[in-house]
Amino acid sequence: MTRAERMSQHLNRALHELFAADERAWLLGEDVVDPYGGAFKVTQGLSTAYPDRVLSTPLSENGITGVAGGLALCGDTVIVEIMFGDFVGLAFDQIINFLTKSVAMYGEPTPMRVVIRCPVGGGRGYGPTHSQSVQKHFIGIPHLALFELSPLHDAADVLAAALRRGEPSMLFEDKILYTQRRYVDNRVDERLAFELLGADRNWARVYDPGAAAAPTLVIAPGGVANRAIAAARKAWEQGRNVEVLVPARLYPFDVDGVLGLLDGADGVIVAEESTAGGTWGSEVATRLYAAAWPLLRRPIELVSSAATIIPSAPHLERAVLLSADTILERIMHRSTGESAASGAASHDRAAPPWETPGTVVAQAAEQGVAVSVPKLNNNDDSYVLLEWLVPAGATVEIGQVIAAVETSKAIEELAATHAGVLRQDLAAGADCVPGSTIGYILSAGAFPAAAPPAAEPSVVAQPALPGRPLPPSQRRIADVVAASHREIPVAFTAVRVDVTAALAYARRAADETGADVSLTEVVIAAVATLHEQFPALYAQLTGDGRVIDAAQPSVGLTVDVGTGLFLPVIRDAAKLDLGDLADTVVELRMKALRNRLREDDMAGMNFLVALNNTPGVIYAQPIIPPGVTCALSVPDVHREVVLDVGGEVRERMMADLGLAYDHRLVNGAQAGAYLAALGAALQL
Amino acid sequence: MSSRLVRLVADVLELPVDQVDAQTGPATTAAWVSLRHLQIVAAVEDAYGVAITPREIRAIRSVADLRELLARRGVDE
Repeated sequence: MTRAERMSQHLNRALHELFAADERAWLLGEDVVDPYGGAFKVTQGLSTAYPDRVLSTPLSENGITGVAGGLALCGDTVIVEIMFGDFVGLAFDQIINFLTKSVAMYGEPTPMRVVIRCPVGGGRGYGPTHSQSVQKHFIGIPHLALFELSPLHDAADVLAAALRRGEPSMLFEDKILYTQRRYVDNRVDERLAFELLGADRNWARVYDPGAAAAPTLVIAPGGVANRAIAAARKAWEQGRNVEVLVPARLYPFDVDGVLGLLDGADGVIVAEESTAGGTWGSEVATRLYAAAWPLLRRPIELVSSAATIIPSAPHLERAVLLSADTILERIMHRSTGESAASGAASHDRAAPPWETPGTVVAQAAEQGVAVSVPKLNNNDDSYVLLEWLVPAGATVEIGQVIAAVETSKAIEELAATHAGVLRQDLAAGADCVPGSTIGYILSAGAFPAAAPPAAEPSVVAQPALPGRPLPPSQRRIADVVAASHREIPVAFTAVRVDVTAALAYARRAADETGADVSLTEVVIAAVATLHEQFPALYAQLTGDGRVIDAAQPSVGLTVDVGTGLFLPVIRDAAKLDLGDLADTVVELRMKALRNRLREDDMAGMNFLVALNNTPGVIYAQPIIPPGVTCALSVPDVHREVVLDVGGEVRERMMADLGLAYDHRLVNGAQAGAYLAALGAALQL
Repeated sequence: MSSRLVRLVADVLELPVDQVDAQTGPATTAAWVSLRHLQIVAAVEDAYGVAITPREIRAIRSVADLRELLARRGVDE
């Protein structure tokens, strides 16, 4: 037996067959012609074979669909490709006011042979506006049928069934399916078989021919079929018999084709990838309740993705989207004797868990180990839970990093103290105090994982306030500068320094070592050497009026690489040569870029060098961080023409170095002397 | 010249690919400022799965240097 086709190849072949059989078939869409052949390569080869009927269109879903309607009115067959189903909303007017109405509003039935293909679904990291499952928005429109690509159905049959209706249809294609292979020969794997049911073979039933126990039925559209099958396999390992039922046509929902399977089934779960609320699953449940109430042993349960946007970051996307494990949890949970009423009421994802935690949370607190925030420094009363690094419901190992917490100075990672399943009780972005519990690690298998909390639950719960919250990274700096302003009586002195020699020195060092050195490192080195001569400028003034001298100069440096302003520290800077200093500066900046600066990198500063060297900046007054006495600003250098002692005109490179100092500890004369000494130290 | 490396650098510098070649570096291209330098390094580390030391970061002065660095690591561009 040859290997089954991948779904994109399979659908491509079905389109080729359609065009070969129908001389009046058109295909319209964005970038559908060769060599590109569509964003997902589904139309490859079609424009080469049928150049007059396969047309790349301008970026106008509305226009494309309108043209399709016009062609259909003339009796032609039209396939429309919407590049990403997320944008089919732009064609909504054509669909509800033109294509579907045309079927019935001209006094006689008018066939409208249009299929609008919509790639949908997440799992590929495409983010909030290229990953959605928009099927639910098109349910209930008269004369509009909805189909979904399935690995269990022949795509040519599905296209034929859609066109046979003489009404517009939409074909939703889960993007994850494109690269997966379809199932053939009525086999899913060695254990599971599948069959197509009904006169129109609309329903695919995946089942275990050898199973005797009453099955739990999982009804899923084609895009979720493989996840439902994966859940069925795992449930079988845990002793549960699960059948997966996949309709090719989602709407109008085919009740008759599935009624015979409901009798004797141990419950029905409808799994879909869309967000909860007004979904296809709701439609399925409504139809089944009406048609099969006496046959149902329990309420029908719905599982769907979390009610939030679909993130791009893979670990966050996994946390949001419906997964095989979500389906499995629902299957196993309902099989442990949970009463039907409570099962439906407290665990239905239609009611997001962060709004109705219910009894589940209380149980977890008893069974799990708390994830607590340790005390990370002596400065802060509270921190910000920056990010969960493991999705809710994931299994974690001892020592695995699970969350990032931001203090006023740095970002610290929290590691799991126990192995188990992670439950998240606090949303990313929220404040947390030292010692507080932000989640639990539950013993594996003891508890179905909660969905991730909403990104900003406090915003959801509270009346909207004007404006927007200060971002966490800026709140950290805001606290530092506000404290500085409150506590430090600052004075400021600036001098113009000839840095021509210092720049030349840096260039020579760079040429000798083959690695760049900048004025920044030369200044830091000079600041470090002046510690012995000017200890007061490196000292710390305590709250009770005592002065603590620094044993070594540890020079802080402002670092802002677009991830927020940080003040990492080069400890014992006097012991480092210029190359090591330059390495340290690069290392700290790279850490900032990658959000890897830790509390330890920020500790022990006794002098700050503030880089204000944005091109064109000639002068800046820095803020002194609390606990430090002086901050030196290093602006951009500029050219000046000067007269030297011999009366010669020379071009020099100049910089106006500014010293902000705590006037409680340092007076103007000391500051002036310090800057003069610094200027001299830079004449290398 | 590897088009992938050039594309990556062009992406970070927000320049058309045809304006980036082996000689492109801070000395030839105004867009290649110190922040972009770090972002290019981070992008190369991520794309090729290599770790670049601070000394190496300071020694990079062109796309050609990046290519040499990858070659030293035995990474196929």
